[in-house]
Amino acid sequence: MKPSTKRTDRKHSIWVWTALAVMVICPLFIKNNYYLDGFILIFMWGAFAGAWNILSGYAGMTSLGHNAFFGIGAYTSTLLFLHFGLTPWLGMFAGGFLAMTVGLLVGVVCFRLRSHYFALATLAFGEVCSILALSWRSLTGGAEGLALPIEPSLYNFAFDSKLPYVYIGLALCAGVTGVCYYIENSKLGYYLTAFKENEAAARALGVNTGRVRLTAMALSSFLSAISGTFYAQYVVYIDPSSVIRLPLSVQVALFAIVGGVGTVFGPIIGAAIFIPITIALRGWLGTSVTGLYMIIYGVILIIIMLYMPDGIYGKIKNRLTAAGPANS
Amino acid sequence: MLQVRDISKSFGGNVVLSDVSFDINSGDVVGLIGPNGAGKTTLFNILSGVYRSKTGRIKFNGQSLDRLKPEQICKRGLCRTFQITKPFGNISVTQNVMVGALIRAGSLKKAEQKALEILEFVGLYDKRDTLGRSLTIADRKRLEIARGLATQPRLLLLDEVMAGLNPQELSEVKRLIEDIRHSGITLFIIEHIMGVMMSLSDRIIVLDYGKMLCEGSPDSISCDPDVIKAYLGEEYLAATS
Amino acid sequence: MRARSRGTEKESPAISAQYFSKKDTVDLTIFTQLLISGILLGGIYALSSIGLTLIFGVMKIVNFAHGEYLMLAMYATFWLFTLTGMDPYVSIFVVGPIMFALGWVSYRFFVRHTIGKSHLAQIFVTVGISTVIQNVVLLFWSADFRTISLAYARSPIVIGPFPALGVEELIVNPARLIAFVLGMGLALIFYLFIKKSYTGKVIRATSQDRSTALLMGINIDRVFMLTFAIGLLMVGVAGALMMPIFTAHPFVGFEFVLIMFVVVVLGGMGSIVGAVIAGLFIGVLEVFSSFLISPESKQAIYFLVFIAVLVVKPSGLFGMKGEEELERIEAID
Repeated sequence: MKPSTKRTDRKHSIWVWTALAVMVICPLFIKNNYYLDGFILIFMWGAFAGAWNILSGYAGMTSLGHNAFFGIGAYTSTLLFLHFGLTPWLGMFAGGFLAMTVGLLVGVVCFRLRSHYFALATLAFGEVCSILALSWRSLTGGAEGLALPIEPSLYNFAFDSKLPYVYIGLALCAGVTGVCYYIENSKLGYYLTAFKENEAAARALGVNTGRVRLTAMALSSFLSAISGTFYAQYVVYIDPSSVIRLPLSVQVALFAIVGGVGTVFGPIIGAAIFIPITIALRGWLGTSVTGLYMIIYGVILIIIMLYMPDGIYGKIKNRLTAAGPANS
Repeated sequence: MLQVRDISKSFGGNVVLSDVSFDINSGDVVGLIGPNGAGKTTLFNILSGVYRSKTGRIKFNGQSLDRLKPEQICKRGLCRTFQITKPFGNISVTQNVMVGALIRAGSLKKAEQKALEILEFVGLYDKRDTLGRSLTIADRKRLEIARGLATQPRLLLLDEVMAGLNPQELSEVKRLIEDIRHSGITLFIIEHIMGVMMSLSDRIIVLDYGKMLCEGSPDSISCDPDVIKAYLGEEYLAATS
Repeated sequence: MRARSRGTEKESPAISAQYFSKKDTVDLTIFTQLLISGILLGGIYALSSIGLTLIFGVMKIVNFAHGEYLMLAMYATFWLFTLTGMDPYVSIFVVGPIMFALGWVSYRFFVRHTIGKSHLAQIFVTVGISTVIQNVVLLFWSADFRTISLAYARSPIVIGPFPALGVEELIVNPARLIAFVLGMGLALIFYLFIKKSYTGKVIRATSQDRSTALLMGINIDRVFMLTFAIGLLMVGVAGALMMPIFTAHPFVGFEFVLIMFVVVVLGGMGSIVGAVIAGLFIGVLEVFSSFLISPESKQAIYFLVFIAVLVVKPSGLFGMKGEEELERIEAID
């Protein structure tokens, strides 16, 4: 969305396609499951963070309640499988549409609130869902969660080796990134930016800000839920603390923000930075130092917000476009 | 083209507009003047759908504008600029104008073309890649006009686009307004710069404390004792009559 | 209040309580008991929320870490009591100033940099602070529940009976009573400060119109600093008062901050009076729903209230209409 977007992106696209090619080919040669696991998590979080970014980055409506959408996705597909044997591939879409509906409701009620207030409202909403997951034991298994006793098969969206998960995750992440790219270079993107910059001016120019925001919310919540299903299918066990409790919201925001909120590649970059760090920390410190990685997350969040609010990719982009017009 | 009848507006106990009625015909350039606090911008806000008037009606090209939202009114062909400019700071001038163009243009490409045409027309083509927040006041005002033009309005409401400009910038804007008029757009202009208003407008509406003081050609207005009293005070009137 | 038809008496309505049936007096007693407990609890909620609403009213930011500061105050009170035997009601005078200083530090080194910048930054700075504080406390002091019990506050105070009102004995928890009295006392002092003192006027001016205040020569930065520090002072005192009543643990802040958010939203962001009234209301609501439905239902109730407010009148009971909404157009004339 910066000047000469198309031209800098063309320079970028070489890198992007190369990276994509590497991502597609590499996993075939990696035998160490540890690394494959890392990739899978990066892709999953990249997708989730990208989905969050659609609402909080492009539309500028900061949400602290996306944990709910992730959880709705995870629980919906899991429950549909456990109770009805429905293939998670379809359950995924069911979860997505449910999350989208809930998201639209939240949007309709809360969108007129100013940003802090909106964040607060989404926080409350996320908490409600979280509490529901914990207390509605008959449905969700409460704190014990739900296990997926799953036979590996395509129908079951379960596989013996990690490799299929890597590619599905890659497809998911690439898909979300593609959606973000499309948004950025479409009418919707322009309208979202206009709304984010100055709502009054946008409306005076004919932008139906209400509809535009709801579209962003719909996309954002739908894709978050899809990520949730993917997680459920990969880990084959879900419980409130892994798919719906609040720290999830902080984490997804952190990844997107550090990478670059409101940019196409920021969320993936954020995930690619933090997942290895988290895995490494867990490896060194084990579970004895509980919460240490959350402290680090919190500190990084604070530092980034104070000194580099555009995130890493945002900063790169700024520097490029400063040079941009001279190049063109 | 525009029929306004009995528009009143209060905020709390404060009456800002009362019983304002007037017509604007296609092709006119109508000026709106009045001392500070007279209710001019509020009137614009009501016309463009930002505020609602509980009384009265507004008809634009035969259709009622009552209870329409700002974006709907813009789509109908009534567009307004803001007195305190509201550029989209983090995107380029071209992209700013594209936002306006997109309600009529089918694709981004067409919108960009239209935007560039308009930038040429208003004289901002050289600054087309500048970020919105880097513009000077004069350019911001011009951007407001450009964005408004991009929506292809039939009636354009300009809110003090000449405030704070030096004489050269002023004459450029004056020329721009004449060009806009010649392109077939009807104009309704709020302004304080009397000299320009007198020469540009076909008709002038004078507002004072929310009431219409008088309405007529520039010459008849300037001699109207009520107008003189409103602007310059009772003593001046007494002294000069 | 309750139907007199329960009894078999055919006397005129103006009968004295001794003719009420036993069930009536018990019901009325229960009602009054719940009411009192609710009000006492509500007072605590009100006090802890005043700081939050003040910060939002003046600075227009939501302090997402407000609960964690409450938690820190509770722990401070706990450690003072456990290590030095200091009575919690005395430790108010220690914990209060500590929290005030902490507020000063938090603003000066963290929040201040985000004023005027993107809302995202403002939101996530306090979210980050909240995350860090929670997990640091978890790390250093473990997830163990901490409680203190005061000898003199252990035995409940019995009031009544009030036969004239049809009410039997009422029980009041002394720690809650003290917390209520001291808490509401502080709230009153603060209210007077805001309304009458010069500094209070300066603060109110800044909250009403920042740019004009700036033009009048008010040092906005200092006002914000003071506001944030006072906000934390209030929640700090609340924490100290709450320690004898509630359990401290690293996530207690989060539990209470949700209540505080509901109180502030219901009362109206920025309204002190609103926070007090809403706090009392929520306290009473919680106690009644705990009794009539179930103790777990209280969270559902909070959120129902929250949603109801958002749908019906987002500015809350006493907030200015539209305050909570996005910037509107300024009409100059």
